[in-house]
Amino acid sequence: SIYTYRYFIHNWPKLCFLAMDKEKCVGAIVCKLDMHKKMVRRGYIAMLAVDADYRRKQIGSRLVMKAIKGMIADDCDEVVLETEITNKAALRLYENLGFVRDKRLFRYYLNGVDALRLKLWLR
Amino acid sequence: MEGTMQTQPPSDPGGQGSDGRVDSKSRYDWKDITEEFMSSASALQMGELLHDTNFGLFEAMSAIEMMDPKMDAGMMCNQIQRKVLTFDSALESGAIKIKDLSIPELIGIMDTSLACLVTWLEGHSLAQTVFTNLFLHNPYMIDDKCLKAFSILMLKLVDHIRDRVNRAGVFEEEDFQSLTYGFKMAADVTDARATGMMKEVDKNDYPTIMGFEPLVNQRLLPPTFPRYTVIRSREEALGHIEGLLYRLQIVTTVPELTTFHIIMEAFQEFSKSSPCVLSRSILQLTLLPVNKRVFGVHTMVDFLKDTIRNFIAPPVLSQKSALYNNSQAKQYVDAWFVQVVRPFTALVQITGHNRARQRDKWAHILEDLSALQEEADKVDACLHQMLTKMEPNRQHIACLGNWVLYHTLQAMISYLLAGFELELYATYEYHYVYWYLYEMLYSWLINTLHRADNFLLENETMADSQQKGRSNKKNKKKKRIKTLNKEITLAQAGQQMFGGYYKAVMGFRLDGKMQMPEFQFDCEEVRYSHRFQPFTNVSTPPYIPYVQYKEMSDLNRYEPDATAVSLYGAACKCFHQAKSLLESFHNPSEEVQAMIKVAKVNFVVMKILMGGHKKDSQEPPVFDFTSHPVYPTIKMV
Repeated sequence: SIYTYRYFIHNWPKLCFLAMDKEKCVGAIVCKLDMHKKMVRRGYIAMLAVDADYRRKQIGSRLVMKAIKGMIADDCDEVVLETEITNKAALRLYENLGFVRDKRLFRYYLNGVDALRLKLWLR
Repeated sequence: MEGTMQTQPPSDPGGQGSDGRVDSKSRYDWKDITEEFMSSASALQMGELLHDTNFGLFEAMSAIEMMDPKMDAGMMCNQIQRKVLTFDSALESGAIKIKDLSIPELIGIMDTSLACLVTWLEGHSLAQTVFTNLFLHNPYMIDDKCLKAFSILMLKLVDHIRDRVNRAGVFEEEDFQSLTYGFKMAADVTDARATGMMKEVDKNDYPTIMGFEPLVNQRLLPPTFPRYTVIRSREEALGHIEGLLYRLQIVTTVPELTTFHIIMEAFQEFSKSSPCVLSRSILQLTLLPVNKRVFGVHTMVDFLKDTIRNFIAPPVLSQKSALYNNSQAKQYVDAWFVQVVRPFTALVQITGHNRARQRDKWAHILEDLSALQEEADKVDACLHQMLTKMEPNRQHIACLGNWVLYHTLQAMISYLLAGFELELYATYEYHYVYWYLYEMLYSWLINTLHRADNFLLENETMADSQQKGRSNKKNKKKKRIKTLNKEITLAQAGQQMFGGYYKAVMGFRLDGKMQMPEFQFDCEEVRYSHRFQPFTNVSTPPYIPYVQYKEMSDLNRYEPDATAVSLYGAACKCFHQAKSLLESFHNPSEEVQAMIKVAKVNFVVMKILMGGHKKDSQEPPVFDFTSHPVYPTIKMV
């Protein structure tokens, strides 16, 4: 729901980036960064979206890079996200940035599709 | 919003309802605060929100906008054209019949019920599957004997299945949802009575279904739930049930299995086909029913003692040894065995989980196994001291410890192999994964098996020489009763396979066909240490940190003349050796046969690469896991 995004943006404004074409927003990334199991500072990419007309311009990758740099600036140990195993575009994008597949989650999504947890270990 | 709960007076017909379900009549005393609310809200700026400190991520994710049909479950129920029926309203309106049902109607209802059951077993909620069947909301009111019996039986069946799966405890939320939402499950009808009722009726045939209302339970579900669950078709449901019956038949053969090792092997085989949560649960409960005795008969300790005897014949467990009846030795050993039960029970349970969850659990159990092994080494040391005084020729060094180490190594291997099966490793990670398997884990495994085999031999030799009146000359060519040859051969074959892959990958790297990536934020050393992090909790075998891995695998140091072609040749030899080892089995299992096929293909591919095929191509090879989830066929594009 929209409250999820508002929650993230409210608490981690520095990890939310918008891609603008003049006055028009054509891409966005929403993230958070907090302590995982009291031991690891974990960044989480909650949402990445790029307008359909603006695809294949590396906008998505650049938004992710900005987010990662923002997380590194805040002492992040690792960055994670989940994506459907069938979402080849997302897998390509993140794997090209050095993310690897940390876990397989069976029937993670309500439609029964498996998910992969992608992770970038920073240290 | 404030409200007060009112208890329904017993005579109120709209209150409890004859079906005992959540009713639609209000139990709250609503107070209209629209004016206060709207005037307070007007003080907020556009986009400004009021944030309570208790409103966290969980609340944000489960928040709904009231009356939004996507989020508010009740809105959908209120907006659809047709009325959502309950048992009572359906009966009243004639939408369902409780008597004079035709045979096609009955068959249709029963088939659809089974389809709902199967959909539930695939991980969906009862509310959106089995309980959409209105007949189950009030089965006692049904006049038709067949439908009544079937409905009661269905409720009881669901109850029994829930009980088994809950007790086995080898499921996670993606596997199974056991919540019954307060439904009555015909608990007052005994199993005998229910099956008796079914036996009294006997009919056959097909389709058309009255009595199923997908939305009847919608308000019982949290807003994060999907709106609809797609019920399996009847044909698919039948297929599932056939599969289930087949798997349950396999489960009935389990009590024939004799040792813990054989059971682990069988359970892992069973797991490979990704069986349903119900058959996995029944399998677990067959081995370890409620009283926690193996097959309900042996204590876990006795069972494990027997297994260890067959594996490594520790003198302290061998009747012919002086140590066997020594009370001090018995004390040490029995105290240690108490510690063994929990981790080894856990090992079996790991095989009962779905394949994805197993990987985490293999990683998790390593710490316990390692601690157990250290304890075992201490016990072994004491026993060895005692034994050398009684029987100077015999040893007890690392005897029990070796057995635990065997399982630790198996768990470590399972953890790494799961990464292939679950498609987790990037190709640029293969080199260190294959190296760890080939150089470390399988090496250690083979050594451990040899040590155990030697103990077995020693024990047998001892037993022979103790036989009175038997000449040793006659026994010179006697065939060994207990041997670990099969396990050793399999381990050697495994090592050769992974050796082949390792050398192939190193060859591809030298050849420019597999290039190491250069990422801005990724670093191989960091990645390596995270991938192998669970191994840092194990003392034997020692963890190989990245720097040491680089040293040990440094071609410039150990094979300065290595070329891509020479590495392809080495890989070729490995695959050939694997093939020969596997072909030595007289009655090869399906697994072994699949491995042989893969080894053969890879042998050929390596051979033609040696001959210069695709020499100038920089196209990366494809590792094809369709023939085997763990041993890929290498394909040159």
